[in-house]
Amino acid sequence: MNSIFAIAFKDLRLLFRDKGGFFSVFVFPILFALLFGAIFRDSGGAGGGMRIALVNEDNGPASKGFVSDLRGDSVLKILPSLKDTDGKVIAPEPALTRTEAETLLRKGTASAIVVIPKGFEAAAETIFTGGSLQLETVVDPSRKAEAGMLEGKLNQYGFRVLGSTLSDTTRTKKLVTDAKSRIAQSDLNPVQKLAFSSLLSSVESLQASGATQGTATSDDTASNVLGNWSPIKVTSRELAAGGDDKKRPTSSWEVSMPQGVVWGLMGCVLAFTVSIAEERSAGTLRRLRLSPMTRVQVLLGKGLGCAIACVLVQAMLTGAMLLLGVQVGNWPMYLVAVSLNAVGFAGVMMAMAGLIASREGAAGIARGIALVLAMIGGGTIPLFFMPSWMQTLSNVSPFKWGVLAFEGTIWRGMSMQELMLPFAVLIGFAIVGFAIGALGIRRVMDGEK
Amino acid sequence: MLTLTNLRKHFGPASRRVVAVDGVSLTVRKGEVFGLLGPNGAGKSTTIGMATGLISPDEGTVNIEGAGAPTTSTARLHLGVAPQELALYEQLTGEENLRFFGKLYELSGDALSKRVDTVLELVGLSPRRQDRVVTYSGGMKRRLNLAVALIHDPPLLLLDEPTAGVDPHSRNNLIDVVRKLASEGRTIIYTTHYMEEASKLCDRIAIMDKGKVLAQGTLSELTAAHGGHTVVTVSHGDSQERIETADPLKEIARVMAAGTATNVRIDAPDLESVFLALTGRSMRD
Ligand SMILES: Nc1ncnc2c1ncn2[C@@H]1O[C@H](COP(=O)(O)OP(=O)(O)OP(=O)(O)O)[C@@H](O)[C@H]1O
Ligand SMILES: [Mg+2]
Repeated sequence: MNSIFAIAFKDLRLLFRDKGGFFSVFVFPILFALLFGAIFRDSGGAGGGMRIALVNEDNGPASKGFVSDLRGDSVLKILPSLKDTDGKVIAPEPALTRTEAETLLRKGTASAIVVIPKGFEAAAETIFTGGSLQLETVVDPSRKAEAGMLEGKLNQYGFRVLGSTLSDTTRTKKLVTDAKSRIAQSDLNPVQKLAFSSLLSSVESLQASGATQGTATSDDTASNVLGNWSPIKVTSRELAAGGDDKKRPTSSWEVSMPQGVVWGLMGCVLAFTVSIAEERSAGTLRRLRLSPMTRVQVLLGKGLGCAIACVLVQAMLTGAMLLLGVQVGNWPMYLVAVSLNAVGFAGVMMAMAGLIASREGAAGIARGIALVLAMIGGGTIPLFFMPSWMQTLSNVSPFKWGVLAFEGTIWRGMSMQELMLPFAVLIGFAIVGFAIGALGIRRVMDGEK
Repeated sequence: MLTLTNLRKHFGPASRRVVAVDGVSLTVRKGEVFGLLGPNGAGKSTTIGMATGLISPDEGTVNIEGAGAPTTSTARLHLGVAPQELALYEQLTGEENLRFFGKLYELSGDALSKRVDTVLELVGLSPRRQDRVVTYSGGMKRRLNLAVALIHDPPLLLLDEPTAGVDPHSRNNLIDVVRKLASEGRTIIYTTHYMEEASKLCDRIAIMDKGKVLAQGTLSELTAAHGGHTVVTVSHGDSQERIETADPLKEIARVMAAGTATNVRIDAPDLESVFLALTGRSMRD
């Protein structure tokens, strides 16, 4: 045991003396977190492949049409899926409650919730009188970039609802007549009244010519004059941490810091993997072999050093987080996440060491693997930009689980049960990593010249 | 103390097969300094590697008295190895290197500190103990490389070219250290391709070439058996007379009696002549 600690502390000492290693473990992650935190502070824009948890509380014909339009969108992925794993259509259409949808959002399975509240059907009838279809969205604060896109999509499909209402001839006739009288009495300003009247007149002439199509788009002139009126009113809020009275995530730091932490963890993994390869070529690994230590003890010494470095880098980033005003939602679970990240990433290091430390150019290979894992795990580009097969692939990346464990305890307010998954995966990385390392270390230590 | 029996080791695939060690058997007695002398590529390091258990032989056995095979944990405590290629942490200080390796042998506290002081003193690195190894000269690194082999006070030392790449001053210093270690009763295997070192230092010597031990014994045994005769070179003014003889004193007496000699040189057979006789090559080639 003494000698395992000796290896761990010797390597930590070397890490602190190695400028490159020190940078990648302790400096880069914090720079990364600060940079990305600053960028996402006021981010806009959007990507594709967004998963939406859908809650339909209305269930009227208009809402059903709206839902099937959403399902038909190529960018949006509506949860729950209509098809089961075998590709068979599930009937009746599966539905989520608000609570279930929130759980999906918290776990990161969905990046936003769309709620169609009761009264959607009734509202569809008042569109021509300045009424609006009401929708609610809840977005993941780390996915703010997508919120804008989602709103655009909801408006687009909202207009379709408008269109299909119009295509129902008798219903429209009645609606238009009703509407005209209501507009006349309403407190809309004269310009708006004019705009609505002309819109309605054009509807009437459309009806007369029988040219109504399933899809109507907004009349440009009309919608310009109508100013900020829109047939769709989307009430958006961000996912609050935990239950109702728990803290809401307040800043982009809460999103960027966990990513910074995981980069730091990966830096530790790299530093220790490379240290084994270097010791191999420097011949000191041979000296370790000559000592009474077994190979597995040497591996454990390296693993321990890596785990300690992981704890240090997490402590450093936690300090930075607290300084930036980020609050930890669940301290006990946060500490568990810190420990499990340390052992999980030490496992990743041992696996990498066992697999590649005996190869030529091990350091380069290790960096390449780390970068790929980071990329597929969402360390460099947010997951939602990726095609779905890649999102699935991201499950093999320790980055994904490391970030999830952190966010889960900082602001996602994940319950014990929800945290079990990332925690178990990290423990899995530790165990499997150790096993792979233990199998590979023989070749690493004996195969040398 | 250490017995190597019929060791064989080859490297590389069948097409480019290199037989590094080809049936080496040696017995090293307790308390002696045993020299393994041979040119580059003779198989010395491979033999040492098998003796330490780092290289597994294709054939043959290694036995350390009282510990068995070199890979057992008892054997690990018995063995002190200074590899030919420096194996040190360059970014640690000399003292930190020693403390680290000491801990691997379960040394700690005062015992460790004492041992660190002792070996630093022995190899003459005490003044530089707080400096990082990168800042050491080649000779100093060599000395530290030897010191690390001694940290756990092992009775059996395997020193693979401990003076490689070192200036004459450091070399003499290292040779003194090895003498001192021998005087403490340690058993030492010392590989070198310097004949002077082998003759100065070793009680017995094995001459290796191309993976085989060609001859072994004390210096005088080797020269007597393979060195040929002493050569007496007599100068008579400008002309020289070369006399090979088993009894140089008698020849010199004869030459002196003749009274024409202006100079006399005596070349006793040495390891060079032994190697030449055994291989037909000079070892310096
Ligand atoms: N790991 C290896 N792979 C391939 N060939 C090797 C290996 N180790 C040694 N050899 C070969 O085995 C032969 C003996 O090498 P070895 O290092 O034992 O010689 P040596 O007597 O120690 O030489 P030197 O005085 O140069 O240190 C050489 O031909 C060498 O090229
Ligand atoms: Mg050698």
